[in-house]
Amino acid sequence: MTAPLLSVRDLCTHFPIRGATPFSARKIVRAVDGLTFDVHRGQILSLVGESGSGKTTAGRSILRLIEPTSGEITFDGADFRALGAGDLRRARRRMQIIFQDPFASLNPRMNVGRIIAEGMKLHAIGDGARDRRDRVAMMLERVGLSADAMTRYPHEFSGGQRQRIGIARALAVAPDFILADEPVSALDVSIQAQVLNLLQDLRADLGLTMIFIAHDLSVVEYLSDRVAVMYLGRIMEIADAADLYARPTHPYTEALLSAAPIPEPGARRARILLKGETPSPVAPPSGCVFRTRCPIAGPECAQTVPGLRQVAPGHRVACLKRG
Amino acid sequence: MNRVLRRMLRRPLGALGLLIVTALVVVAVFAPQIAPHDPTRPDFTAILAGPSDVYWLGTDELGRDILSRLIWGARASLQAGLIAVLLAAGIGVPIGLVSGYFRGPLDEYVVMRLTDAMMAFPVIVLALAMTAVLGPSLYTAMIAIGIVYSPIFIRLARAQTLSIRETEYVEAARALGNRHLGIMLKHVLPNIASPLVIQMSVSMATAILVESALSFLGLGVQPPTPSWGSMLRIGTNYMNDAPMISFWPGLAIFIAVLGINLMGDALRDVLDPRN
Repeated sequence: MTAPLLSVRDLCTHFPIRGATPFSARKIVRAVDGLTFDVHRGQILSLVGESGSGKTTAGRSILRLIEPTSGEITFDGADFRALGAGDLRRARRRMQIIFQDPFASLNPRMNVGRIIAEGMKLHAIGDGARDRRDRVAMMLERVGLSADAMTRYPHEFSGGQRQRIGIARALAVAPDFILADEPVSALDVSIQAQVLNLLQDLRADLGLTMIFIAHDLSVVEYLSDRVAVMYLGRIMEIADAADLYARPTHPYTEALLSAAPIPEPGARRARILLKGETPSPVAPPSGCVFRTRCPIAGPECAQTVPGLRQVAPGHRVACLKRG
Repeated sequence: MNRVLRRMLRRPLGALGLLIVTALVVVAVFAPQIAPHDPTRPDFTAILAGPSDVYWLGTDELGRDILSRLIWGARASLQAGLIAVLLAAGIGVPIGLVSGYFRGPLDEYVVMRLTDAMMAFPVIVLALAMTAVLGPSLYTAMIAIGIVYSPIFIRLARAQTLSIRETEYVEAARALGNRHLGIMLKHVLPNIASPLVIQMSVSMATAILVESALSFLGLGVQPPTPSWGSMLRIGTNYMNDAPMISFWPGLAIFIAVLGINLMGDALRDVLDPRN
């Protein structure tokens, strides 16, 4: 296999938080704690987890929108974390992001044409304003909007349309890699399918490499090549999508999958209900972070932090009991 | 710009505000041509006179024509309002924007504490100190008002910037590869402009009032040059005999403040693409 486009090694993003008094001990939120994975060209990796699992922080850290605390990010063979401010700005053309909330991610004071052309202008793509306008029109049509949307403002569009504008903005600079941060979870279910189809088409046409962040395994099943399940800032299980859905190995993945509906009347899965809440990332449990809610946890789980172990080719699981 | 003007005229109150402000500016600019009399020439045969066909609004305690003094006074008052506020916004908005955008200890411990200190400072005291250095004049008063008003704009611009900098479209702008300056000018400033415009119109109105207070104390416009504020204050001495001396400049201030506020309101609505 060729070298991955994006390679993340042991990525950590910790946030210090101030104590109640200046003298109390400083605490640290371990939002992302030791992520390791590769994304190959043309592949879609999904990061799945509940709220608070650190998936959004992980995405922002990979793009250095939040500066990670430690770890390595290699993008197309180059050390992405070593880039200085100017090089980072230039490198941003190659890595774009699609946001969750289509109402918050478009500047209300800019018309759609300017929003989409902004990146092209910054990176000197296109030959003058006229050419950029044509490109914007093409982009709009590519994402299923009409070219006359250019002169209108974001508030004139519906959520699904705005999300398409956000996608057009990301694609306008012809990036190699796109981070999609829950791009459909703020949309109505009927619109979700449309936007997912659009992403699917774009991926087929443009050979996009993507990280797709979601909190719902059923959304990503149909889109992803690989799936990584996150819990409290760590990866619990990572595998090819088909493999993960057919043979979930980590008890957390099993629980998540058992919560997803089956598209077959009358069919029911055995539900695995997790007890309690996600523990605070300020004071994660010792050993395996999932042990406090795990149905099969034993005493050894409190002692040892499980590393990701290979259970099948390309299928790795962080569990002492399984695999 | 034309589009903004047309949309403003479509609103009745906006059109009224624009009309008042335009009229005041015209009066101030063409004061020498419009005023029927020399505003500083006393007529000792008509002291504290009521309205007549010579002096339409009557005369003051030295027999000077009130109408002419009102017309000339528009110059000082409008200048004081406009220049002082532009100065205040010119100092305050960039500082507040940059400070709120980058945050950090410089923002919290230097800029914010300095604005606290400045806000605790009465304009009169600062104007006194500045007069000692620069000498009393309208410009000293304007600079003093501008400096004293700047913390309002620092605070407002900073507070608005703090909320805008966390939005996803600012993050998107970073992800696109914008420089900090580009983000501040293209994405933050346009989105904090509405409250700033409103604050400018409100401040302009109060700046006219502060100028009158300073002129009354002899720290602003020097006699015999008229300003609305000095006319109003001097008139209070003759409240029983000739109340109209204070009434007319008071009315002028009222109309100017109203016009500026109406214009500011309309401007905010018109500049928002959501309307």
